[in-house]
Amino acid sequence: MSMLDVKYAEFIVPAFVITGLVFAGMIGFSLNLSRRWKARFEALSRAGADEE
Amino acid sequence: MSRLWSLLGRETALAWGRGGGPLVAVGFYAGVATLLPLAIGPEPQRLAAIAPGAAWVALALASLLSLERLFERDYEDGALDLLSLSPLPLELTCFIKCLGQWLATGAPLALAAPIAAIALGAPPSLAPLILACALLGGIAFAFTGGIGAALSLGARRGGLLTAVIVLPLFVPPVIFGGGALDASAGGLPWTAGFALLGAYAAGAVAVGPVAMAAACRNALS
Amino acid sequence: MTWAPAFLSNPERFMAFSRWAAPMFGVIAALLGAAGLYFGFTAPEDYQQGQTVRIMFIHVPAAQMSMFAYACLGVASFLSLIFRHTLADCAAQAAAPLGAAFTFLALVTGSLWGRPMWGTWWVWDGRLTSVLVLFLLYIAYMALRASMDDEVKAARAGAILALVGSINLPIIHYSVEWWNSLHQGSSIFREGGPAMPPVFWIPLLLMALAYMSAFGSLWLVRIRGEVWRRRAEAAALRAARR
Repeated sequence: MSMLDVKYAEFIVPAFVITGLVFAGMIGFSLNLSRRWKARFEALSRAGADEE
Repeated sequence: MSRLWSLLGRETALAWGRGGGPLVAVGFYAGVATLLPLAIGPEPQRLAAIAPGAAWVALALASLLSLERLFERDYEDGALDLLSLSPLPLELTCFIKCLGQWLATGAPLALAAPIAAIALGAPPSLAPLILACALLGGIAFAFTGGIGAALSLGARRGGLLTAVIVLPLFVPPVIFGGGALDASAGGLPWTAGFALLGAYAAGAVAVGPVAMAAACRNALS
Repeated sequence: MTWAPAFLSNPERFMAFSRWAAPMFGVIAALLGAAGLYFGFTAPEDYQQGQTVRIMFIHVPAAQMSMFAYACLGVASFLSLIFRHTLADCAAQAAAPLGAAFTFLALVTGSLWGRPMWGTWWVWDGRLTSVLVLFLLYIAYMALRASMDDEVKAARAGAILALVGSINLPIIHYSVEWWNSLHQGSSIFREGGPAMPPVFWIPLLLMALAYMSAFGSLWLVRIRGEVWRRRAEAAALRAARR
């Protein structure tokens, strides 16, 4: 890995790693929020339709 | 006109009387000013260098502390409902509430500010400017802080929330006032910082009541 | 702006639009980001900054997005206050955590860039301090919304705070710049430096566009989530009434 032995790699690598982690977190949480509430809504409306 | 005066009298009396008013604010202020040298160390040079700035930040915190009950009190006992139904526009009522708050706690704090700064080691010649900055800054703190107090109506943990909302908005007045005091202590022209502090206070007086009234209407709806 | 109320008043149209727009922006972001990273890492070392110039490609776009997201929050809050559309409020609520995340990234990568370049993790420079206060404003917005139980009240209170914050942001920026001019010593950002050569600005532009698309995509996904959440809560209320 040429990237890990350049000068100042101890600053460059964490910067990219943290950016990657934050992006992963943003993507994960956002998709999870959307999926979870969509599933919840669909479950509730199915239950509502069954009762009627 | 007499309605305005009676409202101002009521607000000032409430801010003065209930909940300790100036006693609590000044007591908190004195407490912070006592803790600072204990944390930093008693060397006169080191203390003197930070005295005006420390007195200034403690003042911002003390005015924040007393703001917490500005609207909550009236919100809880229903007086805010009555005030919103009165012929006075709610914006004007909010303006007067903040003015009363400033008279009852901001002005006593401003009187205490030079004493605290000198006790910490600021030169006594700085006292008039500290008093002027504290009076003007108190207006900025009261009218900016009132927005936070009105917004956190009906929220859980209203007091802490008010602080979280308001502290970022306190950045400009703290910088301008601190800058004026710092410049004056260093023998530099201080008028620029003082004028900017005045401009911020004027802006807060103009915008604050509108935001407070909107927040109160929201809380009451 | 006349189109906005009509568009916002119709969540169905928004849901149909965002259904394909969110993944599309995501794909665009991934492609632009890959290209930007490729050109960023094949670019030569900067003669002053050495290898650390690579941090610029992820730092500068994050700083730009931190402001852009607050602008989005402000506009969405304004629309939700004036027109009282739920969708505008969903947009405001969805923008805040993303903006806070980008602001956090700007602070952290800036600090990691500053350490080798200036020899310190943090300087109380005008720009850095503004970004820190911006982060506090995001926190305040999210704290206010989180501590109110009534959804409608939380929405309006949050919108008022966002507007007060957007009035204050330029003042805060000016005040810290003024403050910095008093305490000379950390003049890190020199104005009018040499123009950036294309090997640096091309990857920077690509990364800026990638961040912008990523924000757009994630924003749409989160707005969709908020719309679903409100629909689910309305459905739960209907079910409870029955």
